[in-house]
Amino acid sequence: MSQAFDIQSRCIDVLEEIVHQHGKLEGRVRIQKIMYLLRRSAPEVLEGVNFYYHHYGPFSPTVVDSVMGALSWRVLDQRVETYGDDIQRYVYSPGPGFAQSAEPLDLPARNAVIRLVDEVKTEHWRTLELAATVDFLEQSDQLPRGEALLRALRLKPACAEYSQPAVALLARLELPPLRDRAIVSGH
Amino acid sequence: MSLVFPGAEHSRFAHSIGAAHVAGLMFDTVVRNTPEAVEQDPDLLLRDREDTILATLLHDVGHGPFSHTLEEIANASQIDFHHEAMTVRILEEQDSDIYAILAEHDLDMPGRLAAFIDKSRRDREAPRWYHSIASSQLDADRLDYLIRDAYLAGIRTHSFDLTRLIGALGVRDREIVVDVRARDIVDSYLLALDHMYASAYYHHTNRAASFLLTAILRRAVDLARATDAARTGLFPPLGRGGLNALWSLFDRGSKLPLRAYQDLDEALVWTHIMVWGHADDPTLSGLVSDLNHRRLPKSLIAPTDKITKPQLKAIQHKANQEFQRSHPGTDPSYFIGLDSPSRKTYTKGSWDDEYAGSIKLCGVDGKPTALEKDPRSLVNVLDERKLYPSIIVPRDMRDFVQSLMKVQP
Repeated sequence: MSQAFDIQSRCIDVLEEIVHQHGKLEGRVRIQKIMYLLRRSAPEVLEGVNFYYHHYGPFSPTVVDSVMGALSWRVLDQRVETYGDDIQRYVYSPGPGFAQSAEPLDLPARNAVIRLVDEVKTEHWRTLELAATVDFLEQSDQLPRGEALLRALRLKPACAEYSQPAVALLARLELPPLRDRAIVSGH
Repeated sequence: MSLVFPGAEHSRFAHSIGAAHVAGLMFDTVVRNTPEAVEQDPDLLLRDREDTILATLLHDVGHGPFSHTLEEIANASQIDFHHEAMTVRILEEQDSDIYAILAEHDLDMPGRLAAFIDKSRRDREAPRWYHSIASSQLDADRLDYLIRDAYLAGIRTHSFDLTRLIGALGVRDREIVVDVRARDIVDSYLLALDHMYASAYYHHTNRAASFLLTAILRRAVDLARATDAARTGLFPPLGRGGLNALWSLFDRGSKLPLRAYQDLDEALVWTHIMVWGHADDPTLSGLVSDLNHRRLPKSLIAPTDKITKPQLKAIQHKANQEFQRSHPGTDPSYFIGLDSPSRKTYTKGSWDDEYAGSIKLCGVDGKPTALEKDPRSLVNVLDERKLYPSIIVPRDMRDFVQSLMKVQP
């Protein structure tokens, strides 16, 4: 149980660093996908945080819990931004407990966050969604990239126009083949 | 849960039967309320109905004994073990008894049922509305366990009108919707769920009992990993082919032989725990004795508006030091730990995830709208609820730790 808390606690610290580097984060999908890509590019930074396939790609309940925890500890603030009649997005920014609760990450972890945020900061959230889903399918179902992309687009037709940047992002990130199968549980 | 609510002795089997019954009621009501929106071929509609009821009946079949506790220990030890993966294996692998029964009836049925569990197999362009009867935020699973758990735990205030809620279901745009006039029943369902989390599933004594059970299993696994002799002593060969099903799970995670997993039930785990009560290791036997005599640890809530995360960790550190002073040579992590709630009553969707997974209401305009977009819904209040973590400590350390929490290091 304490291990679960420690994993969540670490996840909150990482989230805090991401917000610090990224600036405000728009959308829950963006958070999930950045955390997934970080878990894949620097597995030790989010050790114990596992992902499975949900409605919109790789998803981790631990990340959801961590967002809840970050709000509860007032490390982050959440507000809803409304666009037009139908569009509502959650926006996350530093809360009053941001500096107070900070447990600075060690240098390698911090550098891993900085590297990843640098790569994804200007990417559209759909690009992150598609890239994460393609990688997830490659790893969980052992699919080659082309096949994983086709399958991901069947699951996420709305991402079609982001295929090129998603593939380019994956090429830049050079995510290693998965050694720890627990990261993606497939179901 | 029965250590805290003595009446709650019900099994997952009874729940599965109940959930399957509710699934049938939901399916039939949807077909009756919106016949134009469902499969028009009577044979295929019958097949969809059968799939839905069977998928719901079998939705929990991959859970092991003390499901979440075992899963948590396995995952914390970097072992790939997930009950959903086991459910899919049991549905689809040829050496599974359940697969054999399903495939004899209809060779394609195991694959169809697996799609109820594994969302990556679903076609987003042609979603099947009935999948969400087995798995969603308003599914037969929750509708059954909420009523069943509250009744058997003796918690009388947590109820809602199941008949009226089911009666308001229909299909629009290939997904299940609730008639907007029944929004109040959806609210009372979510409120009942929220209260059950607060008063039963996250009851402080329930969490403390789970911590103790976890500590026992984790100690046994840690000892077994240290030496072969300890492993053979604590997890002796009991089953087919000289396997110990419980160890097989901790050793191989979701890849354990299906036959071994089918042998793994609560009786087998309790038998191990009973034997571990006589173990040479004083930590293990002591923890089992605590469980046998219901000497549960204490769970102390840490209000996050008064105590920061680093402060709580510092309190834990001081508690560990105090424990080690009075119990030299004993690892405090089996006795002291931090705990945080890990489940929301309702997960709100958002525009960027297309409100996937949200409960949808449908009004006279026939347009499904996510529940959270209705400003009158209670769900927007529930979402603001703060969930506090807690620190779990031995009973005799309660006063010491409470004084630390008042001082706030």
